[in-house]
Amino acid sequence: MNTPKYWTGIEELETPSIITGNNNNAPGDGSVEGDLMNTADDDLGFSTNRRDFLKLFGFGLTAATLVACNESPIKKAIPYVTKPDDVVPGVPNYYSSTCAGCSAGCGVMIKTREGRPIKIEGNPDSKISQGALCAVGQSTVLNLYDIDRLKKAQKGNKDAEWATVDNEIVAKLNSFKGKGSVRVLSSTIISPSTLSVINDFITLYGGQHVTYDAVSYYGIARAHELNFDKLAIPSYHFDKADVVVSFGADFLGTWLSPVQFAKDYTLNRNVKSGKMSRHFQVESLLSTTGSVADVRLPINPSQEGAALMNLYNKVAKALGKPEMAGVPAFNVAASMLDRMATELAAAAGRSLVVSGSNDVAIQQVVSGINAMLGNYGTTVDLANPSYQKQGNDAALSQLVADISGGKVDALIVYGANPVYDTQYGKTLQTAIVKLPLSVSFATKTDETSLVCQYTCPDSHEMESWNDANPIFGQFSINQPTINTIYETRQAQQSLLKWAGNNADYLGYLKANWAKNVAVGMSTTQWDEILRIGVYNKEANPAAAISIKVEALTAAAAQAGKAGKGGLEVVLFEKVAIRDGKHANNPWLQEMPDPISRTVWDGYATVSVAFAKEKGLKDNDIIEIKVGDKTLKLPAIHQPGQAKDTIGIALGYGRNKELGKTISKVSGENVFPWVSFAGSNSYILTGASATLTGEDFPIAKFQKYDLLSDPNLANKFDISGNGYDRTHHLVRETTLEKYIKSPKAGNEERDNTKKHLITLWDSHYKEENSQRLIRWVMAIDLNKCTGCGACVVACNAENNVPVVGKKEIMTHRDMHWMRIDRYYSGDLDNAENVSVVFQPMMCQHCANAPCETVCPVLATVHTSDGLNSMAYNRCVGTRYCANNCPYKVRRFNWFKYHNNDNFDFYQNNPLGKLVLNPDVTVRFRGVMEKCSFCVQRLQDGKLRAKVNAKQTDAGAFAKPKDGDIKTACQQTCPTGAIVFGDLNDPESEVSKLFRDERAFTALEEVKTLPSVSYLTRIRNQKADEVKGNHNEHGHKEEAHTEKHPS
Amino acid sequence: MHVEAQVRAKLLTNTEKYSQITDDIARPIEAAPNKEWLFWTTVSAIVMTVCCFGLIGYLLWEGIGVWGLNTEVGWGFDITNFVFWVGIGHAGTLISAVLLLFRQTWRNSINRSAEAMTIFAVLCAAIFPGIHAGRTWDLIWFAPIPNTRGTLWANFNSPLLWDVFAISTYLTVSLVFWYLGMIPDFATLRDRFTRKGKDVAAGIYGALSFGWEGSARNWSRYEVISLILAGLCTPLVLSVHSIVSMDFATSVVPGWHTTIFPPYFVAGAIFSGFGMVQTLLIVMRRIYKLENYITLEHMENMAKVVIATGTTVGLAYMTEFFVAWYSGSFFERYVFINRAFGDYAWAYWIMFSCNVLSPQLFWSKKIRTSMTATFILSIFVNIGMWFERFVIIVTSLHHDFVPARWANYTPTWVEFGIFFGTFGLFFTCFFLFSKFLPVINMFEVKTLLHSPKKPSEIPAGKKDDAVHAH
Repeated sequence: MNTPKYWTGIEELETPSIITGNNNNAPGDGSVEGDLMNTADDDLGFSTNRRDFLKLFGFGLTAATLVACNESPIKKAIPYVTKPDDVVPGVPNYYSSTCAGCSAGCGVMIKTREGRPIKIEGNPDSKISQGALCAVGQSTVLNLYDIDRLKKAQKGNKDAEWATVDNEIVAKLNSFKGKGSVRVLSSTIISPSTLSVINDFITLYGGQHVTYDAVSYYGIARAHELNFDKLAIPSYHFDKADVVVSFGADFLGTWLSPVQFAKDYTLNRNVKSGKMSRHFQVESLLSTTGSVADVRLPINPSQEGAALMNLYNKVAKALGKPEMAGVPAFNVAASMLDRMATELAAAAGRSLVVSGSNDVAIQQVVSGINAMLGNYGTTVDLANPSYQKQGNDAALSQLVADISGGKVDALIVYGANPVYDTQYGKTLQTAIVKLPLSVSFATKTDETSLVCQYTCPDSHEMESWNDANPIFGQFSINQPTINTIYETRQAQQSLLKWAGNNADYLGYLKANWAKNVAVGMSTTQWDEILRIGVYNKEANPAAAISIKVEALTAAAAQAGKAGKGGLEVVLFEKVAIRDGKHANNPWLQEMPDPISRTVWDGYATVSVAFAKEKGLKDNDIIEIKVGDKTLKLPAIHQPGQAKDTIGIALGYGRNKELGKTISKVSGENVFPWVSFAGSNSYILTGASATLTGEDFPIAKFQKYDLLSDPNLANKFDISGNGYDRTHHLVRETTLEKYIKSPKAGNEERDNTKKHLITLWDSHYKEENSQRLIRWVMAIDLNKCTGCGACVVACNAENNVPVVGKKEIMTHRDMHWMRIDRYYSGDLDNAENVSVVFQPMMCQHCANAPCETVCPVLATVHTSDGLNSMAYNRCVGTRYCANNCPYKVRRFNWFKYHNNDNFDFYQNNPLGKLVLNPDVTVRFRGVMEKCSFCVQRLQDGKLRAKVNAKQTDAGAFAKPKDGDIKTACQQTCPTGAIVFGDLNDPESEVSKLFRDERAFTALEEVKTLPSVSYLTRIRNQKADEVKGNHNEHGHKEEAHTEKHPS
Repeated sequence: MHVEAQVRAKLLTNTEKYSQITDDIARPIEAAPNKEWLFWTTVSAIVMTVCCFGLIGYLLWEGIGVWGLNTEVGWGFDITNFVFWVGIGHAGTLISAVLLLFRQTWRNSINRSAEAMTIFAVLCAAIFPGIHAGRTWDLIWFAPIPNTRGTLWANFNSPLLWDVFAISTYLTVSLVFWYLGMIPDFATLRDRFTRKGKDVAAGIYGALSFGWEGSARNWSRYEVISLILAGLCTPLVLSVHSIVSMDFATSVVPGWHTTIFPPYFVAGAIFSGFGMVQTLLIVMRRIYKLENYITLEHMENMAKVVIATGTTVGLAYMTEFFVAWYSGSFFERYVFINRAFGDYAWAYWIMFSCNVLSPQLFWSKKIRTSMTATFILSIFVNIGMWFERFVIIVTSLHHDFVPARWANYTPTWVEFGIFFGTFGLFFTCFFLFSKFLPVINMFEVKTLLHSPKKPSEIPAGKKDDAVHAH
């Protein structure tokens, strides 16, 4: 600035600071600008000029750039050099096969992508699975990619060459030839060709094939042998039964062939057709089947015989047939037995009595009742028996005696783990070691293979050829869908080789089929069988049967025997864990039990009355004593359970060193508590239980069991409804009321709808709605059995991570789909609660609260009605989850893959092969939720467009109704879930949306969900109605008063 | 022009000369740091570094999972602390802007530290929205700036976005207002250091003073911009916490979805802000011997504001209960009963007694004028207001619509640590402020020295002048 500096007086000139630093009163031109101009740059005391700034800036930028120049890891994707003919990258191939999750033999379709199986679905052509699959079946694909699988043949639990192992085994086997001392011990084998291979093997070396089941059904087979001279388990037809009486058989969850039974059972529970079976369940513990039953009666297990014999006599009386003598008194619920008997008799030939007991005498009485009712030939089919359980408890007992007695030289264990899952575990553990030859075909080291000399790892069923014959006349094929991942060999091949037959097992199988199954089949026929996956022969006609009266009389003496008093322990199978065979499968360990909603650890269940009496809180460890056996387990109280019983789940207490997942599960093995007396018994009487004062937390998915908060809100009950939110979430009624008015239980809906006004009518009216799709889902609460198949199917389809017990404890499960379970009824009479299941997933609200609050538009609505989630855009504020009334959004609290803290399947290269390439694996810090399987929807839409190209519809082609199925819908054994396009008035789902039973959850929040639920209908008489129904009635009246319509 | 009641007591005590004011206020800046100050500043800095920055590092490394939040309770300590600190940041603006507009000159000796407190509190608050997000590094997506990500844009429907604007505006305006107010004082310090020959300090304060000359034009500009900023700040006092409250009020969560939230939150924020100002000033006037500037009357006035706002907040609590009942909304009723008698009832009653009951003690003049009692009560106010946010957030979320998904929230040590760490940040800033910046507005306090005058002190014929003072 070159403005001259003026001074006002001589003092100012002599004091330099005033001039240089503070020329404040300098008379400028009087303008502000002029004054501002007076201040020079250097007056401000800055020494940094523009050049310095640029230098520093440049240096900083360069430094930052250099620091950022870190080499990033290079990942190579190698394309096919020669593309296999049948593989199109990005397009899945499906192969029909058979599920090996249990021995029910469901026909399945295996989805493979670029050569690796990633998903398993039911095969609609299979009469067993009928297109559905259970939770265990869904999870079997993960067993294929189990990092703990054996990678090679083993000798003394160390890796060995197959040739060496083969040679040594064959040499030893040859030395036993002719002594009859070779034993093949297996669980039920439903494969006729495998049985033939074993037969060949046994014929060559001399010996026996012994079959057992960890959870035995021998009682049924033996009862039929005694009653009808036929050692077989009949096949059951729940679809033909108008009255079902089940004594402790969890036929919708675990019993015999649950998928098939669930499918059949539901066929006869379709209220729309006006026909709904009556289902009585008499049981000690609360099972999924009991939860669905119309009438449920809790009894102690020791009373089952007496109850059945009383029922027998009452039915006999009603039918005018001879009664049984020596029937003990049964006073628990005589009137209910009367009712059962009357209804059974009225539905003679259209009814079914089953029992989950393995007691021969009890099963004899059951078969006696069925025979008396003429159910054989209709609902019970002995002419076409089931091969799904072939275990023989007596043979197993004999085998153990033989092994201990030195009569056995070679033991070959196939598909079984007797050291763990039989009561002879301890004996066998020491005895097997002493055998000259012991071989296990275990795919993973198990308790039995640990003590065997050799382990010749069987290939996974998805790597093997096989066949299945679960029920007489029904065959299916098991195809490999991938080459063996490790150096494993399927057991059949091993046995063939050791028997000197160098044939390929596939060739053997085909020859066997040509000879025994599809006699004289051609190559084209075989190809067709492979394509369809199943082959059905004509069923046997029903044969006339006559029951042996003397056998039944003998049974009467046995069945009525009373227990020893005290507490009664029931060893039961959980829906996911079953007999513990798949304990190393993290999907199953993290699948919440439908009833207790627990995951991961083993526990004992006690009745509410017992818990009250002992002052027991959940997770308190109790010591259970039966005779000389004791064990300590954390206990949880279980509504619905009979008062003096304790339930302990089988399948826990595996050797923790055997696998990554197993090592994270605690619990006790109760197979040693099984006892044998003609057949295995899973019931112990004369038990006692004491509190130890310690506790062990059990992880629960759901901590609140009721739809109200009795501890709190009732005290301040101003409105008189007990703060019961039942009607806001689930609605139910009885069949009687439903027939009178289909709106029964759902009357509220009209009123609610009337109050759902909007300021933006046009907002909800979509232009061209016929052209657009609006994806919606209807869930029939009447059909849902809570079995959890959908949950595992969803996990598999959508790459849902497993998070482990600790995270579940803090309520951070990642499941996109959950099945809420609520009890209703009088808590003081907790034995008699009623249960309702509510599958819950993202409701894809048209008025979604999550969408408006997201600051970055990471969750938005699509034109086809989906609430979609853009993971890449999410910053993770979690507001959407807070604002979701259904609490279905899941946040990635951690990185769940490649993280040693979450060492489940997504932390190892093998486990990751199960991931669905169509679904993103979510990174940490983002929100996720059910997408209605958007990858399937996009695929279906594209297919429809491609297919319609030649026709008129062109770009607006929509997929046909039913072409697209969500993962949960596809696997649901009862067809409770229906998905489709609401804008298509003919679609099944839009019909269900118009149904009088349809309602949406939390309707008054006005989220306008795309998921409708259908009222639960219980086939109950007025006096059987439990729980809050009376209160509902009261409420409905009150409601009507308020809003006269 | 401003008119004052002539009978009013003096706002400064035992102060006779302008130079005395300058000396008193500049003393801590000019003197060498004492041991006490060094000790506490070091402690605060360590707490800030280890607990705040260290644990935030751990959080960013591992993921939000190191906190105790879950699917149901998606916000806990993070947003509680956020609202708590924002609330504290309220008094500063209120005191400096609103009271300026209302010509409450008694504010002159406390506005500087109140504003500083505001800024430091808002800094502490700003940490939490940043780190509570799952992907902190992507928060730039909040900014509605042109980008290469296609048509993606921020969602202006989301209250979280409003929050970003509200808080950043508030921080900017407060900062400017605070800084501007210090410019004349910086110039004073510059001159004092120049006179003492301390060139470095003089240079720094000189630079900070933007070349303030003390000219009439300077003062005129200063007064104008102060008024403009005060005018800008005043709506912000109301808007910031109104918008923060909309983070909750625009949701569908029972217990959050209420129209009372904006006024209720603003009252609560002023309440907590004054509580915090009380806490800080009681300590500061004692340590720096500023009793003559921050007088008992100041403390009493603030206590009265605390009674008023505390009672307002209490009224809001009761209104919420009444409306929950009156609305007939089932879920609403349940949430409020659960709030007062459920699993977190202890938190509710801590909140209620600290916020509604304890301030009522200020009705007694004895308590109002006892600095020990005021200090204790002001701490109660702070505790109570922290719990208010905790209660609102956690009790509404943990038991909402679907009982199957009811869950409780237990914070982890990381959450406690970060919260503690923000106090380290706050006090580090505040200690540095109290050492290096003039904690009281020198020139504004000087205007109070001779006002008001008793009628007897005013020479005859000069009464008009007295009225026109300043």
